[in-house]
Amino acid sequence: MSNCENQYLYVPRTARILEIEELTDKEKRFLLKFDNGTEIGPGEFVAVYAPGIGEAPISLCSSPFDKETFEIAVRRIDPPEGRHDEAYVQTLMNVTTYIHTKKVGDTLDIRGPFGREFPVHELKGKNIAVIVGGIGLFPGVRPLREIAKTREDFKKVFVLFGTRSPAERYFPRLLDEWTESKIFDVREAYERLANGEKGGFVTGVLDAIEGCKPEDTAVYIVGPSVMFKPVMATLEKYNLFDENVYFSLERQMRCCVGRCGHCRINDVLTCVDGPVFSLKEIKDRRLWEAL
Amino acid sequence: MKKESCFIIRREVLFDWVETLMKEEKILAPVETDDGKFAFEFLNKAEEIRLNYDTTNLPPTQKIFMPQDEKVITWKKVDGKTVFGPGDGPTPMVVFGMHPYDIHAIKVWDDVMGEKRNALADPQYLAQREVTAVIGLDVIVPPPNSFCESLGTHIATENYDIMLTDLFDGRYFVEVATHRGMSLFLSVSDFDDATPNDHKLRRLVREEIATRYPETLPVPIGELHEFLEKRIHHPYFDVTGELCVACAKCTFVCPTCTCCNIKEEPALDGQSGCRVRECDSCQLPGFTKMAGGVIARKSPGARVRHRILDKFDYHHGCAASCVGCGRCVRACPADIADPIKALNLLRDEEVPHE
Repeated sequence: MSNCENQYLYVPRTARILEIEELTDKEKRFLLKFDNGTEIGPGEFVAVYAPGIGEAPISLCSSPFDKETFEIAVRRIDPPEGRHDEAYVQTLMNVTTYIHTKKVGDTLDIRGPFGREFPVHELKGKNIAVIVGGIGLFPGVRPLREIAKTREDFKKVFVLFGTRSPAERYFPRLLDEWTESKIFDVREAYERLANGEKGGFVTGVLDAIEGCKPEDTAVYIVGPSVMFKPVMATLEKYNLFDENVYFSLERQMRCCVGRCGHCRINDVLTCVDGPVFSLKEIKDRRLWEAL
Repeated sequence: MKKESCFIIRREVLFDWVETLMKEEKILAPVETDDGKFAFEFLNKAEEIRLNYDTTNLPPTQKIFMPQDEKVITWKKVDGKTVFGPGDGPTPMVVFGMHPYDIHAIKVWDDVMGEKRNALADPQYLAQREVTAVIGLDVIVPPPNSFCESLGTHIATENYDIMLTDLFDGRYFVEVATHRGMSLFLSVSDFDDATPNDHKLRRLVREEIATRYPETLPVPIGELHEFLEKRIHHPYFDVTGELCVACAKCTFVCPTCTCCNIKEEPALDGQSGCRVRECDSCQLPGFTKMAGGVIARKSPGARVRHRILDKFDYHHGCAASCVGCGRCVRACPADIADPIKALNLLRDEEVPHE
């Protein structure tokens, strides 16, 4: 490996944890900074490496404006229930439980960022609707935090968020802040309400964009793949332009550098060419496996 | 091709030459295995080479560029900090006797991992490519089930340093294509310059062998893309998917399959470890399993379709990434991997039945 300039592809950089916020009992937000002082480049996600355990791609949730520091939010996936003795849990440690054991001042080994993000800058002067399902809020807040900094460059901005229950709002502080300041039009839908009654899905709050002209309205749909079809069906009546409808597509990624082939959608690589694709790209490049 | 870089050597001299090369280089060449098949192995002595091999079970490309359990990076804990080290370095080697269809496969590897990917080019691949010399050998016995002629992969035009052709009179035609090839050829003890007649003889041999490929692609290569685009919902895929046992052999034996997995291998002390690369296959159900358990290509039919489209529709810098070697046909236990059979059945409008 002597003459390999791009050996860094697989070698992580060390990042120090500056701040940890408990979002819910299962999700934490980490503020990080690279030890060697390098900037964080553009990209949608990073690969967090847990020595001896493995590696996982994790979405960035900080604004692309921040170059010095960056944030990731991670849901802890617990080992199967039944046994809780420490040795057993240790052997079943995964990358998310590993990250959750970290404290402020500890370090994480990180590759990236990788991927192409939602092109906020190309959409200035438009109405923006970020349609989010559940944990999709982690990558979903990335463009929103950037829009918040240059709010006057955009027309109406909607945050249309559907989640399982009011307890799973993931970024309650941000959502409340945006709701109160009215900087964004925030609408939330809960599958199950606080009192246990049946609520609604994110498709129920999409009518917020009623009246927005298709030519200057862009939507960014980010969430589990099951929500894409119902959301598209509901949006149909607004006649949005294909080039203004963006999806953040999820696929399994092992190498994050377009090499392993796991994240292929037809002939494109989600980790390099995506994960954010416009509907126009999906149609033009005939990525019928995408949705 | 300049005339002065074409030579003629006798068969006995060829083996002497390999013997000489072996003093300096590791030679990967086709040898006969215990069960009478052929495999690319590092040579112990020159006589082991089988110049008349039809094909090998496993392609040489994986053996060269994706050795099993290749270390990508290594790490160890030093004072509580993780320190990363380099992975496995390249193995300098001369690949002797690679058939043209396997040489064509290198083009696909270049496209997926090589310099065309710019900043994302795989460093270990580039390093290995750099130190690998290819001495090609024109096919004498076309492999069973092969259809290289109709894909144009029966003659290599690039990615080799030297190309050998058996002239069937105890002599070999040697085309030296690169400087590296010339430096390898310099150790030949006895050779003649190729005469115009020898060039003619080589052409005749190649033309004769080209007619002996047992299969032909049923769809012209230029029409494959359009042909398959129209048939992505063809019932063939689901019907075939039902028969697939998901053993992934068709991809493991394919010279142009580059998909891999990168997994963690910690040492027992927990203080060091490495990340290793291993073969993976899109035909395995878990290949596209995401966090939360959703599988992108869930139905077996979708996986069968992905393989056929990957080989004949998606462009990896070539007209088709299938090189027509027929290895998958012989490897498949369910007898459904044959691309020729697949394209024939796809051509029919009706649901195929056995």
